[in-house]
Amino acid sequence: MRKPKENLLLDFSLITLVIMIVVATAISALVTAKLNQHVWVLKAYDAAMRPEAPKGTDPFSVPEIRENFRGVLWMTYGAVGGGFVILYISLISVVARNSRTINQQRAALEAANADLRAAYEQLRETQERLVQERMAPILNSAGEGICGLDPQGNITFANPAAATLTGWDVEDLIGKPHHDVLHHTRADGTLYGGDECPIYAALREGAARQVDNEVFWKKDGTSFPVEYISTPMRKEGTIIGAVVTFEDITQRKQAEKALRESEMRFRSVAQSASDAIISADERGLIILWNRGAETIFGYAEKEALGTPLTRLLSERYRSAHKTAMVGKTVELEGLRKHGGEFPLELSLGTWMAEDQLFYTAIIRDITERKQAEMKLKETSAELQALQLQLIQAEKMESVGTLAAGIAHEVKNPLSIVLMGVNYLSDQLPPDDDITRSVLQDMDNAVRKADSVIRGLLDFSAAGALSLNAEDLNFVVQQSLLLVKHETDRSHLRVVKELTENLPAVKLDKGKIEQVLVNIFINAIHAMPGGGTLTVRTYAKRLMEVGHRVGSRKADHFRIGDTVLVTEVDDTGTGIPPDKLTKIFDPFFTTKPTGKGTGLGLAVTSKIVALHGGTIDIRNREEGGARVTIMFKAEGRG
Amino acid sequence: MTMAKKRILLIDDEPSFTRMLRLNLEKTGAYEVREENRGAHGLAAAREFKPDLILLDVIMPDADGGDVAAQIKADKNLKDTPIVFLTAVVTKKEEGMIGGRPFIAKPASVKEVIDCIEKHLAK
Repeated sequence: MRKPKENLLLDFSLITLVIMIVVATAISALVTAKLNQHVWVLKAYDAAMRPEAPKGTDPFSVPEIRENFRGVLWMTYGAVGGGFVILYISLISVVARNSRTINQQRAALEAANADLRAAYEQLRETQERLVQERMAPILNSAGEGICGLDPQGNITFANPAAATLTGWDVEDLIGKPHHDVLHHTRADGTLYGGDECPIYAALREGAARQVDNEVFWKKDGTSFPVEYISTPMRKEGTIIGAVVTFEDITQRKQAEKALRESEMRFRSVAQSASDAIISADERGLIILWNRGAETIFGYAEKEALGTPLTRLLSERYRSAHKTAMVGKTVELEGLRKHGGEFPLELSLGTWMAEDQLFYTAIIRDITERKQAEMKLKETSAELQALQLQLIQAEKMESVGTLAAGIAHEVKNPLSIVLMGVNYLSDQLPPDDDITRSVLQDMDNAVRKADSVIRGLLDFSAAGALSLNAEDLNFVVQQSLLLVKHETDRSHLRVVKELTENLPAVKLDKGKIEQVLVNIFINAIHAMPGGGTLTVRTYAKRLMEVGHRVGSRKADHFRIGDTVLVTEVDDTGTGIPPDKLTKIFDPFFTTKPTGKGTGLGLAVTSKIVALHGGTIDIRNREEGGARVTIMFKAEGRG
Repeated sequence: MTMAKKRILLIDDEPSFTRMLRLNLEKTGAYEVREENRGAHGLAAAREFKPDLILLDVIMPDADGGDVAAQIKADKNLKDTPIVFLTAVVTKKEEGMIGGRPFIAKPASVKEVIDCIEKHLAK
C-alpha cells in the first residue's frame, strides 16, 4: 500500500532528527573524549610545569584549558540546536500537510456517505415496493381479514377479505378508526371503549394480542364472532402501527356450542345415570367420574380423578387384565371407599382420541340383584322342596287312598278267613294237632297281613298332627313303659340318661310315642341275647352346618337353633353298612322273613319329618346302633 | 230254666262274613243271629227282628253305616238298642261315621267279637 506524501515527509523529518541526535551525541562523545585527553595532557603538563602545584588541582583552573573547552562546548550546542531547529521545521511541515490531507479525506468520506445513504434509501424503497408487489396478491388472496393500522389506530390497509367479512368496501375502510368502525360494541350490546380495545393495546403497549371471544360489526349493523390477532409493527424500535388479522368464527362457535351442548347432554346423561360411568386413560388412571360412581364407590369426583381404576376392584380381581374384559360384561367384586366389597357388573369399552386409547367402564351395583337372585334361588329351592313335598304328599295321598281301598277290600276277606279259622278250630277233635297247627298258621298269616295293612295305612295316612308343648322326658318315660314287657322278657338292661329341665317341645305325643316304641322294639329285636338299651336326652345349640343344618329354609335347622336330642343306643349287632342308606325305605327290613313289615322305620321317619325334626341311624364304634332324633326346642334358639 | 238267647242283628254287605260270624256266634248257643246284607234294609230288619244288639258295617254299597245307625236310633222302639260297628277303620271318613261309638276292627277273632258283644249287652 502506498504511503501518502505527508507521511513520507514525516518519516524523513524523524529520520533527520534521529540522525541529528546521533551526530550531536557522537560529536559530544568525541568532544568529551578529546577534552578528557586534553585534561590528562593538561594535567600532565601542569604537573610538569608546576611541580609546586598540589596534586588534584582542577585543570580548568588553567585559563587556556578552560577557554579551549568552552569553545568545544559551544560547537556541540550549536550542532544539537541546529538539529532541533531542522526537526521542528520538519514537524511543522508534516502537521500542516497532515491537517490538510485529513480535511480533504473527511470531505471525501462525507460525500461518499451521502451517496451510500441515497443508494440505501433507493434500495429500501425498491425493496419495499418489491415486497408490496409480492405481498399484495398474498394479502388479497388471504381468507382472513387483514388490516393495517397507523399509530393512531386508523386503517391504512385492508385486504378484500376484510372488506368481505365486514361488508365494507376497502376504500371506505381506509383512513377510518378501526375500533370505531368494526369494534365499537361488545357482543352483549354494551359500548366498548377504545382505551379497552386489545387491538389498540398492541399500539399502546407494543404487545401482540389474540382474542376469540369478541365480535366485529358489519356495515349493516350486524355482528359476527371473531378471532383476531393484533400485532404491533415497529420501525427502528418505534411502533409505527399494527396489523390486525381476523376471521369469522361463527361456524366454529356454532360447532363449539354444539359440542358444549353435546358434552352437556352427555354429562347430564352420565351424571343422571344411577350406574357408575368411569373413563380411564391408557395407564388406567381415572379421567371421568359420574355421580353414580360417587354413590356406588363413595369417592367424590376430586378424590377419584387421577387415581387407578383398579383400586375400585377387590384385590383378587386387580390382576385381571383389562384388555381381556373389553367388549364384555363381567361380574366382579367391587371395593367401596370404606372397604366393603360388593358384587358389580362391569361393561368395559374402549375409544381413541388423538391417538390415545381410553377405557370407559359402566358399572352397576348388583348387590340387590344378587340378593334377589339369592332369594330367588332360595325361594326356588324352597318351592322345589315344597313342590317335592306336594308331589310326595299327593303321591302319599294317592297311595293312602289306594291303601285305604285295598285295606278295606282286604280286611273283609281277612275277617272271613279269620272267622272261618276260628270256626274250624272249634270243630277239631282234640287230638288233631296237625290240623290245629295248620289253622294256627292261617290265623298268624291273617294277623300278619292285617299288620302289613295297618303299617301301610300308617305310612300313607295324612300328617295331621295334634301338636302340644310336651316334656320330652315324660314322653320317653311313657314309651319305655309301653315296651317294659318286651325289655323284661328279653332281659335287657335299660339305662336312662335324661337331662333334667329340658325346654318344652311341640309334639304329637301319641305319634312320638309310636316313634319311640318302634325304635325301642327294633333295638330290643337287635339284642336277642340280651344287652343294654340306653336312652339319652339333652339339649344343644347348633353352632355349625351339618346334617340337615344350614341357612336355607329347606334345611331342618339353622345355626343358633336349640334342639332337643334323643339318642337310643343298643348293644346289638348293628346294621350292615350297605343297608344304612335304605333303612328308612318302605318295606325294607333287616329282620328275618315274617318278623317285620318293613314299614316301621318308614312310618317313624315320616312322623319325625312331620314334626320338622330329623332322625339318623348309624352304627356305634363300641358296637350296636344309635338312633338320634332331633326336634327344635319350643321358644328357644 | 235256660237263659233266653240274645238276639244279634248282623248288618253287613258281605254275606260270607255275616254267615261265618253267625255260625261262630250260634255255635256258642248264646245267641240268635239274623243276617241282613242290604244296608238300606237295616232299619226294617231291626224293627222286625227287635235285636238286643246290632253289629253294623260302616261302608256298604247301598247305605252308610252311620246313616243306618241314625235311623235306628231315631226309632223309639230301637233307640236303646246298642249298636257296635264292624269296620276296617281305615279312613277318616269311616272314623267320622263311627263318631266315637264302639266298634270292632276287622279282622277280629270270634273271641274279640263275643267279648265286645257281652260288654255292651251288660250295659
